[in-house]
Amino acid sequence: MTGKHRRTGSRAGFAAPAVVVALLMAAVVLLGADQPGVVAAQPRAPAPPGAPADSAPNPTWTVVPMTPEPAAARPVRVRIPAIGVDSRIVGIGVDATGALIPPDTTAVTGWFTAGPLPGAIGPALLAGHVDSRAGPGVFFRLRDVRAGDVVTVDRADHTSVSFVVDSTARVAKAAFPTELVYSPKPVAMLRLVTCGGSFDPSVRSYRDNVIVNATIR
Amino acid sequence: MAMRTFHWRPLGAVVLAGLLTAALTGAVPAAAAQAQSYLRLAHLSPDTPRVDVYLTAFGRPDFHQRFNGVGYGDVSDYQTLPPGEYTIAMRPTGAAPETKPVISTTLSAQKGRAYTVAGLGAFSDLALKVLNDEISLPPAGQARMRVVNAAPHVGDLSVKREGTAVIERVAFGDASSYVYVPGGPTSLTVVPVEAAPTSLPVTLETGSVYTVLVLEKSGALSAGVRQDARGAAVVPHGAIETGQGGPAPGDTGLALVLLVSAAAAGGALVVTTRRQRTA
Repeated sequence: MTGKHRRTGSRAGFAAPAVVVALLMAAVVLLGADQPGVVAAQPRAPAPPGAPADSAPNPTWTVVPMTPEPAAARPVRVRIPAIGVDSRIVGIGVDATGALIPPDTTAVTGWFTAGPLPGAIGPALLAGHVDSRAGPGVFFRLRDVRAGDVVTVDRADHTSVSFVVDSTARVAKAAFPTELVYSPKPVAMLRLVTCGGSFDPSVRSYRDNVIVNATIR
Repeated sequence: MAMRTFHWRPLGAVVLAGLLTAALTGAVPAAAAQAQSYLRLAHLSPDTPRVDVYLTAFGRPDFHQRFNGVGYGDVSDYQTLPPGEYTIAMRPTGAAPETKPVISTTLSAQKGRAYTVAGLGAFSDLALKVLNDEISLPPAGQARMRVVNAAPHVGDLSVKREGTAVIERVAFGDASSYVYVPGGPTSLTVVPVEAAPTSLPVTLETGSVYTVLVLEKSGALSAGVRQDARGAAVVPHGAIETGQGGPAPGDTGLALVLLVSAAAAGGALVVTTRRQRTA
């Protein structure tokens, strides 16, 4: 495991007084005795209508910081042993028209920096070329990936995170599943994308995208 | 697989490592990514004692999970599940599995959907609710947000964003509908009817989904914002151009087109491999 789920911090939040624990235990006993009403909270007298604010309950507030997700470092390398991939990762983004721009060269893999980091909650996206005029690209064999294959991403902080392939798909570019690829996810996922299908010389583009979906191990 | 089980933690605090023993006897199959469901469990009923939570799958006797000693304010991480019918039951902690649950509910998990199954309300009126966690793509520039009111004694809750109400009058034991708010740093204010408000400075990521959770323990209120799901902050248009018409094995074999043409000047027959210069 990557340590992603390891959370550290004060246990003060659990330092429930023993008496509370005891009460809970007693409540459980009572619950077992089928007397649930006994442990109902004491109702607080409602403030009379029009009462001044200071007669209303004025409990203290604690503002809980957003759930700290362990800071994931930038991805630097992707490895897919099943298809012999071991590639450097560079950041990629969109152009003025909003299209995703793949890496400049076919020898590296692009991580979409406006999406989640690999290993953080959400669908991280890695895009690599299938080929160039000169020969195979980094994701030349992506279409050979199978469910159960492992994809490992090395990060700048010398940690790594591994994903297991759930599914692969080849989709027509004309019907690219934007919603599925970029929509929010509540778990850490990785999507690997390259080109596939037949090549359409008239637009100098492959007709399909190959998409590999993986979930954090 | 052990680490893929639920990780319970109270809002903003640490894992209930000592209290949780998840008995996982059925591994979750590696379902297709687009065909997964997502589930988390929560205990948000302030006066309900600690419970053991049971998760079973209809028609799959090999699948069951059990989470021991789950207390008020505990919210698990999401886990992925194959779509299907599930039963979630809460028993008093330590009670035998064959005993009658305090409460139970069924979940029909649809592919691509996320759910929070939460014990809500007062113990005397306990409800085990299935909340639909909306994880479709928010509009450009927006985040999606709701509030869950699990504070019993301060009346309905409203949420203001930079002084303007965005969520209004959510009763104790309820979850609000979702609203869209612009991504970026902002100031939320949680406004109970019967207690002083509090402000919540947060940064909401565009394309993410949030729940504002309000708890009350021994008269002390707490408010926190949970990032339930994250999507891309910028959604690229269209497909991804990642090929240049080289040797990739497409449907037609090598993307190699032989052009035969007569060269006007020399009249010679030239065989050219046509290659594409751009993706």
